Amino acid sequence: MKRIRTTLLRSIILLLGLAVCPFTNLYAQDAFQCSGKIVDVSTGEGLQGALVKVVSDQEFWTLTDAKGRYSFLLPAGDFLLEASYIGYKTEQHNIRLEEDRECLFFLTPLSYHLHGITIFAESPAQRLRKAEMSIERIDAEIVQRVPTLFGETDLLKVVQMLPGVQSASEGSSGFIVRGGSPDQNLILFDNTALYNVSHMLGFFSIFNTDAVKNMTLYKGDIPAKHGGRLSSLLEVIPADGQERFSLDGGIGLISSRLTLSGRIGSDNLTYLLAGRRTYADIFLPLAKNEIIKSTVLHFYDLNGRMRWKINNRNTVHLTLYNGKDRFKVTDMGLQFGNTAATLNWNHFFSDTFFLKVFTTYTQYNYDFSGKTHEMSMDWVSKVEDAGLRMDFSYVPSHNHLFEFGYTSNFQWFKPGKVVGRSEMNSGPAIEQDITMSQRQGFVNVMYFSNEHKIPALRIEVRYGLRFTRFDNVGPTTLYKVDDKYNLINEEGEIIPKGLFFHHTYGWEPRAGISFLALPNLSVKASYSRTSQYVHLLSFSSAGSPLEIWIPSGPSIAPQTQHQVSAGVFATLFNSRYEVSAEAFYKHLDNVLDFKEHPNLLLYDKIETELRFGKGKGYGLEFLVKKNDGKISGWVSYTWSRAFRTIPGVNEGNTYRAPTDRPHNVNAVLFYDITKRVQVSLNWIYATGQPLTLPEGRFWFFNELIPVYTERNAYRLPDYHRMDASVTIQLNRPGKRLNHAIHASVYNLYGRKNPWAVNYRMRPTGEQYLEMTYLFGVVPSVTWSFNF
Amino acid sequence: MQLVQRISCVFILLAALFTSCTAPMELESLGMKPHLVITGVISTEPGQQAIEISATVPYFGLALPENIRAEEVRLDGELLQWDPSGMYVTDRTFAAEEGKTYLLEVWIDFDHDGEVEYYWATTTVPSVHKLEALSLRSVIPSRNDVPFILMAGFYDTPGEDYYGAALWINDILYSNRILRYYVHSLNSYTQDGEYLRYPIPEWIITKSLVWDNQQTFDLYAGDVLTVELQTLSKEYYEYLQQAKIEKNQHFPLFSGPRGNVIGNIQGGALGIFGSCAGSRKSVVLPECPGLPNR
Repeated sequence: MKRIRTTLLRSIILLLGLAVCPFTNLYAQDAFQCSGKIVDVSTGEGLQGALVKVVSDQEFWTLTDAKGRYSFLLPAGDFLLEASYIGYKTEQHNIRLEEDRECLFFLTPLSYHLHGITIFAESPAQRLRKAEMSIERIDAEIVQRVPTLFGETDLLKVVQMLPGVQSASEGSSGFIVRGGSPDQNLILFDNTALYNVSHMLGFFSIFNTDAVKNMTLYKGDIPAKHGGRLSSLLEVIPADGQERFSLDGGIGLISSRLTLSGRIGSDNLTYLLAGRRTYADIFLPLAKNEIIKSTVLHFYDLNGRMRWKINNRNTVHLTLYNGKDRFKVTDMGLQFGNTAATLNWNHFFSDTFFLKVFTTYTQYNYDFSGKTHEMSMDWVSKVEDAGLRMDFSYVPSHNHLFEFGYTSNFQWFKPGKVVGRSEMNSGPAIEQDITMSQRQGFVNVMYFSNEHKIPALRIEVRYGLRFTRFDNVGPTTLYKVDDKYNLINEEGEIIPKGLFFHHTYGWEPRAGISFLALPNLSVKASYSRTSQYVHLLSFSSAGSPLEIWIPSGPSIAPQTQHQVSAGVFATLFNSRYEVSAEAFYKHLDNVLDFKEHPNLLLYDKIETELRFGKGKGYGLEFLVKKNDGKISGWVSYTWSRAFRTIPGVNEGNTYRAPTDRPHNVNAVLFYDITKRVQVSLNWIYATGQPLTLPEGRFWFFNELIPVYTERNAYRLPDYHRMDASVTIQLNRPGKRLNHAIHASVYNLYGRKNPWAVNYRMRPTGEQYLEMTYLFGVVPSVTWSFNF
Repeated sequence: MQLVQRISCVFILLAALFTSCTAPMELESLGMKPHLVITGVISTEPGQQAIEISATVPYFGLALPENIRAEEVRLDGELLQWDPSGMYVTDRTFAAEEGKTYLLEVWIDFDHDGEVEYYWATTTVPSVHKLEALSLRSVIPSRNDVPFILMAGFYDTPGEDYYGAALWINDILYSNRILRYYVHSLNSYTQDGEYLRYPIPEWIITKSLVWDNQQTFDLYAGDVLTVELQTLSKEYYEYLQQAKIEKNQHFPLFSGPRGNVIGNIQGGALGIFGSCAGSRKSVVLPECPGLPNR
């Protein structure tokens, strides 16, 4: 015990010393330096986080830095070095150390039989040592193999099976991270924020897996370079084109996809073009019902990615995305979709100092239109975000990674405009419109962080600070409320175009520490403060594209959150198994909810309908994962709670947050029966979603008025579901064509999980609850190919 | 409302085009005890005015709430009589006085513990806003129908005022349900203290109006429409607003969180004790295309 205390004390003193002396040199004097770089043989780019080790001695190992560089101090002698990286073929080199030496490794990407998503997870050893925690990276093969709905591989459905993560509702792409609401998740696609990532009420996400390279979910320990949401960051990196021409695709029951990839001219310019479209409506004309026959129902995605390596110091990337849903039945139509673009320039000033510049643009909009004989109506809404970010990295030694930078985003919010027109044969046309005032936000951020390794103490620390200034900009109509949420000026104040009329600041410190207590066991802790300046006014948990985003302002304070996490992480049986246990606690300020009986539909003075208060969340996450072998997969259990206390809501008493679902089990199992036949099975269980229901009723004004107990006092029935899939490889030796058949069954035992709940009355006058469930047993088949 | 209905239809159809189905669902009741409910509104219009006392019944089930008897009910100190219709009533000449504050007191052993509990509430009767004019204005006529809205002309008084409006068609109270009753407030920021010609959008007067039990209320040329402009006490206005929103929540995609309708009864009972001051005027439906004669 005394020894542990001494070690801890020494660690704390050293940690404090780091603040004034970050360049601590702890090297031995009589050893030689073995250094080098690990690069992707196809792109020439350094691989960050690759493992380099001396095969004969497990004491000597290290991870590569952000540029793929590594460095050892070894005694003189002969060594066999091994470099490995998930998704790449492991390489070994013999070296003789008589003086300082360099050794380069060129790793070759493993070609998965099914080319599609290429997601690189870190090795268990890397995860143990890094100061970051509450982070999930997923292997490509896992995404490919998890059973799917309608045969569509979906990143977000896999994210929902990770510990601490749950689906927002049945079939939805929205997800809940540690009790945070779906709008508290920042989703970045090549550093561009996306405001809605759903197709078809959320049954599919907008990510075409053929166009995605990797993704990382930060469940709270968000790096200082990113922010703007409270709960999590999902970072999705698009795939680059390959140097060799390839054609990939898949044909499913309701959708197909095709991806072209290759180079233009020299090896320095590559491209990737990917498209996906559903065609469920092709079969609708076969229906007997006239309405369904004439219905339009489809979505499409288009992805483009170009990479131009100008020289060894400069690379330019261009990423484009456009996707749209169209639904039309008789005289009513709904369209919604995203557009996103990123232009990225990477510049190496030197081997230790480099810069990444991103210019980004994103737009989400929807358009609902309806028509009768006499009238037509059109409802449009749009949110846009244009930004510039500059990320500098400085790596003075392999023990430090300094990052600092600046981001600036301008946001336009057009919450809703409805125009109704009369269409008469004669006489003047009458036009009426209801418009929610447009709002603009201007966000400027500076950040700094350092990752510091202290190999002698087996400690890695990470600390950073993020500073945000958020400005409200005209034109808009400003509605201010007093402390009782009454309007100060009923008419609102007209703010002219370009006027910066309100601002707010925020400091967001981040810190993390990892201590490798044993070669296969580490203890980690982290703290983060996050702020959110944009807020989603979601009217329903059932998943709807008709969402409204609004910025903070004079009467809408930014939401903030403090989160502390701590955990134990271990690998067992020669790293074949990983186990972890994490605990977290969150405290939220200015958390937002609606008042009781709010006026929501296209109401411009929405400030009067919102209430602000405090929230808290806490929980435990357990994970057991088997990484390889014929049988692999993971089982996770999460216990978490989320509560809110908001004056003016639930009589000021603490109540369950809508995301409070205490128990969650995710089990994912893969079994390779043969090299050609693989089966997968997953089972999900989650406590039912909180629900507010009436308990009693009484007469008033000839109507039965409901009486409620308290907000979210009830719960929907528990959610559970099992899915299964089988993949049969159809390759023939020596043929370039790789192809396979995937058969999936979603909801294997036909569980009726509620999607929405309505009150109904029987002819006898008896009131009862009726649930709408979306899916029974849903089988699907997809053929995918690559050559 | 049509807009909301249309949008909801789109989503329901979208869900239906996949494999959606419905099924009855049961949730275990949290076992809320019955609550005492006291409701009553007094008016400046002379007549018998009533206070109703009842207990809540389970929301899911066949039982309907029924009025119950109290030990004693007093309005401004005057004992109210139990009427066979199940209410406590004033005499037939009662008319609330403008500006006067009334006290409602109820003694009842609701929890049957042998001890009588005491409940009370007050309301201050607002001033009458005389309905000076009532007219019909045609809106968006079509080939088949000529809809009208009713325009009420009255002088608003300075400060915050709360208005309601009730409609009679040929002496039948059409606004017999809260969703067919109009409420609106005019505060010191909008059209304050002016003569107003105010459209009442609650009722689009067409040849056929929505009526109870999915029936229609058919209109004919020559029918007499009578509007009572009611000035409401603040607590009554707020209660009506909440109740209207609560009853409007048929469309879950746009309804927001649900909650109790909060009234002003002290002592732990639900309900409202409010007051209003009324002024009436009538107008006759003219002959026009699409509107039949009786």
